[in-house]
Parts: sequence; C-alpha cells; structure tokens
Amino acid sequence: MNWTKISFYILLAVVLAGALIFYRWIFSYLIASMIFSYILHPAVSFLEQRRIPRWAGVIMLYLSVAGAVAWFTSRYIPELIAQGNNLFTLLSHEGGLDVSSIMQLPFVNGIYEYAQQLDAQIPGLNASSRMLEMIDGATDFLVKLPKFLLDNYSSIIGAVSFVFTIPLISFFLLKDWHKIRKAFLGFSSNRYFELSIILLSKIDKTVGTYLRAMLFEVIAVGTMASIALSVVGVSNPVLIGISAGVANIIPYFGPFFGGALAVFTVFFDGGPFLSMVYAALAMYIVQVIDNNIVYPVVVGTTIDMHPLWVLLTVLAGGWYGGILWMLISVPLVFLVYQLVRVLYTNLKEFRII
Amino acid sequence: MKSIYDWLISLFHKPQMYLGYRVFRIFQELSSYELYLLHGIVHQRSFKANEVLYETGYPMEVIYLIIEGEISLNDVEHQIGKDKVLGLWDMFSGAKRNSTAIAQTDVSVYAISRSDLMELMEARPRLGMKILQGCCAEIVQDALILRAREH
Repeated sequence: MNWTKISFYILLAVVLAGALIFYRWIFSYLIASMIFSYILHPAVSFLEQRRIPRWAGVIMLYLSVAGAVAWFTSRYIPELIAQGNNLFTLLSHEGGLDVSSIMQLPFVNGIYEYAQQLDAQIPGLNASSRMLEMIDGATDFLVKLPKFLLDNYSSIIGAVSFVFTIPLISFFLLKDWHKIRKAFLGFSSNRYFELSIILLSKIDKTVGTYLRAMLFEVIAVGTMASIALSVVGVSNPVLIGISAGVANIIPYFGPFFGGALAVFTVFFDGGPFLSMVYAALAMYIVQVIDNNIVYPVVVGTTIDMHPLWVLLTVLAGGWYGGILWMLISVPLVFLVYQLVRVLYTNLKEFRII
Repeated sequence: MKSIYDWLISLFHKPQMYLGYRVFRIFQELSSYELYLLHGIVHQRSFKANEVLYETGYPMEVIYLIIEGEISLNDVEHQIGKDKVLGLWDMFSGAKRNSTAIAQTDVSVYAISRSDLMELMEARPRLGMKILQGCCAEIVQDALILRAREH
C-alpha cells in the first residue's frame, strides 16, 4: 500500500471520527426514525406499486396515522388521564394507602381475622403481627411507585420535540429509501458487495418484520386486555390493557406484569377475592389467545431465548436505561444475535474468515 | 406544485432513462413504470480485468447484467459479453454458485439482488410473469447457442 492511500485512509478516519462526534446528539433521533421507517416502509412500497409516488405515499400514511392518533386522543385520552389519576390516588399515600386502610379491605380483613384466630389457638405463632409487618413493607414500596412513574412521565413530556422530529426525518428516509440503500451498498467493495446485499436483506427482513409484528401484537394484546377487563368489571381497564400490551414486549415476564396490575387494581379497589380470580383469568385468556393465535400468525417464530437469559437481559436493560431499556433490551439483544449469526455464516461461506 | 405535476405526468409516462434496461431480454416486455420500479433495486458496479465476480460454492444472491466488457465462466468455454445475464441459471437452480466468473476485460454491470427481484415479482405478478417469460427466452437462447457450438 502506498503512502497516498495510507494518507487518504487516515484522513477518512479523522473525518469519520469528527462526523461521529459532531452528530452524536442525533443518533437517538436517527435510530428512532429508522425504526419508524421500517414499520411504514411496506405500506409506502405498496402504494408505490400502485403508481403513487413515495413522497405522496408517505404523506398519505402520515395523515392516516395522525387521524388515528387524533381519534384515539379525543376518544380515550381524557378517560386515560382520569384512570391514571384514579390509579395513582389508589396507590398513593394521600389516597389512603396505609396499613389501617388496607386492613379495612374485606379480603385482607378476612385473612387478618383468620390469623388472629390461629394466634389464639397456637401460642407464639404471631401470624397477625407478621402479616401487619408484611403489609407495612409492601405499602412502603407501593407508595414510592407513583412518584417513580410520575418522574418517568415528566421525561416523556420532555421528549415531545423528539416525537415531532422523528416523522420529519422518517419522511426523507422513506421517500429516498432506494437511493439511501444504493448509496450505502455503493460504499462496499466488489469483494463484499454480495455479502453486504445479503446482510442488508436480512436486516430489512428481520428488523422490519419483527418491529411490525411487535407493534401489531402490542395493539392486539392491549385491545383484548382492555375488552376482557371491562367484561369482568375491573376498574381502569384501558390503562391496564395498554400497560399490559406494552409490557408484553418482554417475553415470559411481561405478561405477568399485566396480570399482576389487573389483580392488584381489584385488590386495592377492595373487590372480593372472586373478582381477583376473574381478572387473572381474563388476562390468562388474553395470553392464551396471544400465544396460540396472534403471535404464531403475526411473528411466525418466538424469540428463541432461554428464560434465564431473558431475565438477565431485562435486568441489565433496567440498570442501563430504566423502563424503556427494560422493554427494548430483549428484542435488541435477539436482533443483534441474529445478525451476528448471519454475518458469521456468510463470512464463512464467502471464505472471508 | 411541480412535484404534483411531475407525478401526474409520471402516471402515464416515465423518463426515457429507464428504457435502457430493455436491451436485456429478461426486461424487454416491461412497461416504463415497471422499469422505473425495477430501477429502485438495480445497482451499477464495475470490475477490473481479472477481478473475480464470484466463485463456485459462494452463496447465490446477485444476478449480473453485463453493460460492457467480457466475462469468462469456468464451466463454459466461450466468454459472455454485452447485454447478457450472468447467474440466471444459478438463480433458479439453488442457493450456491455453480461456477466461477472472472472479468476478462474491464467490466461494467447492473447487479440485482435475487431477494429484491423476487419481492418485486411477488408484489406485481404481471411484472413477474413478464420477467419469467424473459428468463425462459434467455435460457432457451443460451441452450440453443450451446448446442450450436457443440455441433
């Protein structure tokens, strides 16, 4: 290699490093826009096949999405806010979540009376006092929960500019999809061109299909859970349904969150034990439908990860970046694993390694 | 307004620039709009003389349409040149390359991903039929040329 080439590559590396430093603030915007574009790309291509240019297709889709969001907002947001306030009040100190108020709940009171009877019959058991200690500990944890949720909501509100910028960047990504793809592949040398095309196709297929499937599943589970909880008479069904739908992204553990939220809502509402069973049963039926119909049909294959690996990934995601990363860490790790596997296989087949 | 005007015009007629693809038999029957859709998945590449395009046993993903230059295949004696398609047989015969292709001169090609082409054909079955007819015609002609050389 001659000095001219070496100098050029050094210059290129310096320019790239400079660009990375300069543009580092917008990486999150770019990644979010790419995710948004992957979700909408098939619809834009579908319209393009029917003689609607990409720019017009993107605008049509944006108008449709904006219409759907506007309808959902006008129809459900006031109700959701009311349900959210209701749930927070239920879980907050001011709303009466202390040991004495919990002891007034019929279900808890029944258990407490039974524990007192046991204490009378078995000297030294102290079941009733231990029960009071347990409730006190659990109350402390739950009292901190609304503040934690509210803190996260404030950061969500702070990200409004983020949300409004994404469609703008996505517009250009979608409009010039083919040009960007061609430009990206244009950088690869002839030796790596075919490999790059295979990888890009795999990324398109894996990431695009997975993201669209997850979005559909979140909506499906959210809708089914809201309807099921309304039918069994759980309060705040839409909010719990949406939370269950979003939590469903985490395999194995996500579904438990939705179920637990529904059961705890009935519990703190002072509902009878049977209502808790109905709530759990409703969420179980939703999961059965999701696991046996929605997921196999929409996603095709499940995320083939060991439950322990999923648990460790969720924990690591939580430590790294809070609730958002807990939700995205499992799909992210799965996708990276898939891509590394495809890369390794093809590097071997092309005899590069 | 200009974009809307351009779009209305494009509904009936696409620019002449895409008509160049018709020199290849497999795209001969495509309309100007279908050629425009095809253009989205076509990559132009250049190879130096003696550069390897692909080797036997490589995964099969790309078909090459030769714009300029000569390419030799290890399993046929003659060279393949301008307006011919490379990798058409492999495209239908399996997941691996059956031959090694080496540029004999400086070569300019259009490269099309098999996955992209199949996706386009599935999305527009009429376009897919036209390309399949073109592929059949190309393969038949290749077979006739081979038979003529053997005799």
